[in-house]
Amino acid sequence: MHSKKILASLVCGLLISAGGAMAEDIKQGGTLTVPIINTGFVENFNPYTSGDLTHGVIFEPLMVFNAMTGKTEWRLAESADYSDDLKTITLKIRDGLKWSDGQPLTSKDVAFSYELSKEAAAFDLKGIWPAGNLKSIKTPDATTIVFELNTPDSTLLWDLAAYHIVPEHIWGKEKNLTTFMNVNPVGSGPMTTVKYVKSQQMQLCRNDNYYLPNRPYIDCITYRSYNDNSQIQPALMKGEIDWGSNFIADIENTYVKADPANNHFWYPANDAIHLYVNTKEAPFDDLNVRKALSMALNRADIVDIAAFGYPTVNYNAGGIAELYKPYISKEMTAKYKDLTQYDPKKSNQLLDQGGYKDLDGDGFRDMPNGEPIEFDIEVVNGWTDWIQVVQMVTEYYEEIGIKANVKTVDWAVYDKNLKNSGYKMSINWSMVATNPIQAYQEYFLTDRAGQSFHGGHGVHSPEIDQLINSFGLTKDPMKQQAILDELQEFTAANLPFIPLFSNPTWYQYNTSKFVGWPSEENPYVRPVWYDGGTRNLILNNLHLK
Amino acid sequence: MSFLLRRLSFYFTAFLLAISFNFLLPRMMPGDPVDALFAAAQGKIDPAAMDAIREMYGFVDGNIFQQYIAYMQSVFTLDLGPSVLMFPVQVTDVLAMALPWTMFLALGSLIVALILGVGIGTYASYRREGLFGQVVPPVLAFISNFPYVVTALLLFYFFGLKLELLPLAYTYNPDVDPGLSLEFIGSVLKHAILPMGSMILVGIATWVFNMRNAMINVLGEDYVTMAQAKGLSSFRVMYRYAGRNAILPVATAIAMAIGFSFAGSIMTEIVFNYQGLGNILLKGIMARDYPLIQAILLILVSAVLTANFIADLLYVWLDPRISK
Repeated sequence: MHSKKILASLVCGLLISAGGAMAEDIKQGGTLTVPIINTGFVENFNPYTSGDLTHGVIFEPLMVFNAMTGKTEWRLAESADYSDDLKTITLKIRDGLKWSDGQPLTSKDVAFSYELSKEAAAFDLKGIWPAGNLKSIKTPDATTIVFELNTPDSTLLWDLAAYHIVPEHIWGKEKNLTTFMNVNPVGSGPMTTVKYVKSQQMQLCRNDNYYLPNRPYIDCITYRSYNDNSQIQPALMKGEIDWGSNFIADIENTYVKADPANNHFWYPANDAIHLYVNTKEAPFDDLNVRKALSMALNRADIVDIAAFGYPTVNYNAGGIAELYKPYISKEMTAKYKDLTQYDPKKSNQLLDQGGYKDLDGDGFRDMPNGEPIEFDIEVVNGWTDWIQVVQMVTEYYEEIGIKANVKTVDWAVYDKNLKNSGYKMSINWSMVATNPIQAYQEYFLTDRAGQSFHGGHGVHSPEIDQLINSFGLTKDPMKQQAILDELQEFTAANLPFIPLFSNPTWYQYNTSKFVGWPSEENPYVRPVWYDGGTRNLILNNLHLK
Repeated sequence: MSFLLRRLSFYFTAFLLAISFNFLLPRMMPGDPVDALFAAAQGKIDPAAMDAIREMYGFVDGNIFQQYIAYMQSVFTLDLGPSVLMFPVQVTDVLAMALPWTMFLALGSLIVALILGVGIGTYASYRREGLFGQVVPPVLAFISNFPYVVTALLLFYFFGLKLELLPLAYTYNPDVDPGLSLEFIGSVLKHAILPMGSMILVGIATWVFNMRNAMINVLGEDYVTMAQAKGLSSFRVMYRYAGRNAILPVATAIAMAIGFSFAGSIMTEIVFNYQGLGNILLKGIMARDYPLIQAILLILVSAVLTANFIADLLYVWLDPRISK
C-alpha cells in the first residue's frame, strides 16, 4: 500500500517533468519591472484598499472577459452557466486548487469572498448587494457555487468577475476587514511571495502552488514607484522598466529610436471620447444645432494635430466605437455617416435654416431672439492633450460663426458639473466594460442621471429605460444585438454627445529581456496594466528571451 | 520671565490660528476625498459603495463645527487617524516615513548654504573692491531670484537627463538595501546632490548678503582699523574681529530661513520624486486627503513657530535689554 503511493507519486513527478520538457524552448526565470504611479508602497495587501496592485497578481480572477478576442478566459473557474429562466448562475471552479499556503481552495472560499462584501460594504465594487437582486449563494459541493437571483439578469456575471477571491481560513478570522492590511498575503495568483517592501520599490515572487504547470514563467515582478508620466518617460528610455502604460511625448523619437530592436509601443483603441452637450440649454436643445456642431469638426485633423495621431478617429454616431467593434451596427453607421463627416457648408446651412444669424455684427451667430451665442467647453486643468483638442474644436466652431471657449477647471468642478448637468459642453470618456450595454446604461438610464458622468446631457425616455433593462432578460446574443442596434440608432438620431475619437491604450514594452508581449502581430489581449484580468493573462505569457 | 510668558502666549495664539486655517483651507477646495477617489478610479466604483467608502474614512458624521471640534481633539491628542490616500495606514506612520527625508533635505541644504554663504559674504565684503567682491554677490543674487522649481528643473534636465551623471528620482537606489552600509550611505548622498544643490543655489545669496551687509557696517568700526594697524593677518581680522560681531543678525535670520527651507523642499521634492513630505503633500492635496494635508501643514507650522521661539530666546540671551 505504502509503496504503491510512492510509486504513484514518482510517476506523477515524471509526468510533470515530462510536461516541463515539452515546453523546452520556454526559459524560466527573470524579474519583470513595472512602473506604478503612487505615493510609495506600504505593507498593505488587502486587494480592496491597496489601489489595484494585487488583482491578477496575488489574487487570481475567476474568469477574464477578453474584449480583444471576444472570448471568456477561464481562470479559477472552468465554467459558468445561466439557467433557462436566467435566475440562477452555476459556477464551477477547477478541481484541486490550492492557496499559496497549501490549503485547498474550495467553493466555500468563493462564496465567502462574495458574502464579505455584504458586511464590508466599501468592498462591494459593483453594488451587487444593495441592488437587491442577489438572493443567495449556495455551495452544493467543493467545486460548485450557485448564485440565485430574484429577477432574471443575464448581465450579473460580468459584475461578479470583478470581485477578489480571498481565503476564508485567514479573512474569516478578521474582525475589521476595512482596516485589515493582510501583511502576509495568501492568494492563488501567479505571484504571492512578498520578497520585500520599500517605500520606493517592492517585489513579489512566484507562487509555487499555482494551478498551471510551469506558470508563471517569470520568477518575480518588481513594482517601482513614480510621481507621474514625466518621470516614467526617462525611466523607459533608460531601460529601467520593461512595461509602460503611460503617455510618452513624441514616442517614436524619444523611446523607439533609443533602441529600435527592443523598444516598442502599440496603442490599440480604448474608450470613445465625446463632447457631451447639455440639451437642456439653448441652443443645444435644437437637434439641428447639435448636428451642425458635429459636422463642423474635421476629426482626422484633430487626431493628427492636437493628439499626435495616437487616438483612433471615431466616425460612429451611435455612442460606441472601436473598443466594442464587434457590436457596432454597420447599417446604422452607414445611415448616419454624414453626421461625422467634416462639412462646414452643411453646418452653416443648418444653422442658417434654424435662424441662427449674426444679428449684432460681431462676426458670430446669435439666437433668433438676438441673444448672443457663446459657451465654454470644460476640460480638466493640466490634461494637456485634451486641452489642445478642445482648442482645435473652438477653432472649427469659429469657422461656422459659433463662439466657444476653452475652460480649464479643477477636477472636482468638472466632476460635479458633468454629473449635475452644470455644463454646456464638456469633453469626457465613455464606459469601458465587458459589453456596450453597460455604456448605454450610463448614457441613458433615467435613474443614473445625476450620478453618472455621461448622463447629464438630458436625453432620457421611459421607452429607452425599458429597452436597456430588457437586455438582461435574455441571453440570446441575437436578441441582445438587436437591442444594441436600436440603442445605436437612438443615440445617432438624438446626438446627445458629439463623437470625436477613441482614446489610445497607452502601452510600451521592452523586449531586451522578456518576450510574449501582446502586440499588433499577436493581439491576444488589450494590453492594460490597470486591469487585474488582462494583467493576469499577460503575466502568464511573458518569459525570458 | 514675564517676557517669556508673553511670547509663549503669543505663540500659542498663533498656533491656534494657524491650525484653524489648516482645517479650513483643504475644505475650501472643491470636492471631497471620496470624489477624488472616484475620479482616480475613473468612475469604476459603484455609487452605493461610494457611501460605504465615505463612511469607512469617517467623512459622514457631523456638520463643519463638529468636524472642527473633532479635528482639534485629534491635534492635541496626536491621534490623526488614517490617511485617505494610503488607507488604512495611519497618518502618523506616513509622516514617519517621509519626515526624516524632508528634514535631511531642508536642514542639510540650510546648513551647507549657511556655511558657504557666510564664508563668501565675509570674504566678499572684505574684498569688496576686488573682482570677487564685485562679481560673485551679483551672480548669486541673480541665481537666487529663480524660483526653486526653475532651478530644480534646470538641474534635473542637464545633470540628470542630458549628462546622465546623477539619478533623477528617489532618496536612494531602490535596489540597495537600507542599512549602515557604505553602499547605502553613498547612494543617499548621490541622490541628495541634485535636490540639495538646487536648494543651496537658491538659498545661498540670502546668507551672502546678510553677512556682507553686516560686515560692511562692522568693518567701519575703529577696532577693525586698530586690528589692521597692529599688523594682524587679514584672515584673522576678517574672521576673528569683524566676522564674529557681524554674525549676530545672521543668527536670528536662521529662524526665518527654516520655514522657507521646508517650503522650498516641497517644490524640490516634487521635481526629483524625492520621498519626503512635499511629495506626499502634493498627492494628498490632489486626493483631498484632509487628515494628511492637515498633519503636514501642522508640522510646517510647528517648525516655523518653534524656530521663531528659539530665535526669541537667542535674542534674550544675546541682548539682555529685550527682557525688560
